[in-house]
Amino acid sequence: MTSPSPVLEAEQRAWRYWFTDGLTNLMVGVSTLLMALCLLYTPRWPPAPVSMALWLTALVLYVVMGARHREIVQWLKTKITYPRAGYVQSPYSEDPICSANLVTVSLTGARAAPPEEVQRAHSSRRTRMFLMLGLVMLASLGMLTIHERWVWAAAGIMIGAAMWLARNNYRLSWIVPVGFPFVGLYITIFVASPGAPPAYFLAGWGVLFLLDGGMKLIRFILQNPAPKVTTA
Amino acid sequence: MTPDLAALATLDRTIHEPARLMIMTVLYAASEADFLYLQRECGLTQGNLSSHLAKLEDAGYVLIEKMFKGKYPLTVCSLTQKGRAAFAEYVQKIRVVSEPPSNGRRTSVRPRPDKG
Repeated sequence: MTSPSPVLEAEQRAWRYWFTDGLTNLMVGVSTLLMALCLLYTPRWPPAPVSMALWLTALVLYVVMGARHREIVQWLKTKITYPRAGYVQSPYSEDPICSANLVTVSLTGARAAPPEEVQRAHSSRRTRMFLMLGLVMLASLGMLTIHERWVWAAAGIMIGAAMWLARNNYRLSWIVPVGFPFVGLYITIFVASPGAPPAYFLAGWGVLFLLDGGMKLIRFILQNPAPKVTTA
Repeated sequence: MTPDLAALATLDRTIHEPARLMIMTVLYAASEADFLYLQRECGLTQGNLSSHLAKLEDAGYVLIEKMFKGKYPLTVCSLTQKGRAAFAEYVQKIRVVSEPPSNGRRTSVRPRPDKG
């Protein structure tokens, strides 16, 4: 096996830098948990004002976090990441497919084309991402169409495999790919009430990403202490 | 002197210096990065990085801009078109030496047969 060229290595380090602080995963975790809460606590008719207000707040927060994912992460990075470890261009503006994955699309055509080996790396990432999305969509289709309890365990295994494929691209720790089969198995065995499994699955999804992102953020902050502010 | 060796003699000395080569490599791969990121990636001191960036800027290879990400001020460095072309040319020249020629003809230096 040959080692990557310095250019490719620098490109990969710059790409991974976006994910090292765990903020992206924390955002995914929080928004997925909000979605799960909305599903779990859908107000019944006639709705109580408090529960309706809480439900609407969670729903609005979920929509805002989905639509403004990039801006929120960028804002958090200006507070936490850049002052501690510096700024490098985010992968969003380099690779439009990445943006498409995370809802917002940013196409900056004015930039010079990346070198050939970097383009090859982008293409390989894209292939892996399509494989991941394919597996997630297949699992989602199964969860929607097959009304058997074992389908949650199978979906957990499939999404775990998808996350395993994505773990290098998005700097996922082992918690996420290993955790999904357990979430699926838990729902298959313990969650019996109809309608509840999708919400529990999403909640498990959110918790896994929160754990992953939270651990990464703590590690990042410990490894990169805040710069000392000198006052004149 | 073989043509390959002659190409080596024309290497861009601004880029050829190790610290500047590291800076150019990072910027070539990552499009733009700020001072702190470059400092950490290249393992240079603040003063060292400043002086190398100034040399690269003087050569017209690097563009240094002050900008804001949100309210956070950043000194962002990026390669200019000239810098990108110069780095690509530099890499091409180095490759000629490090990779064997595709037609089987070796142009590297061979040991001379002993005459004595």
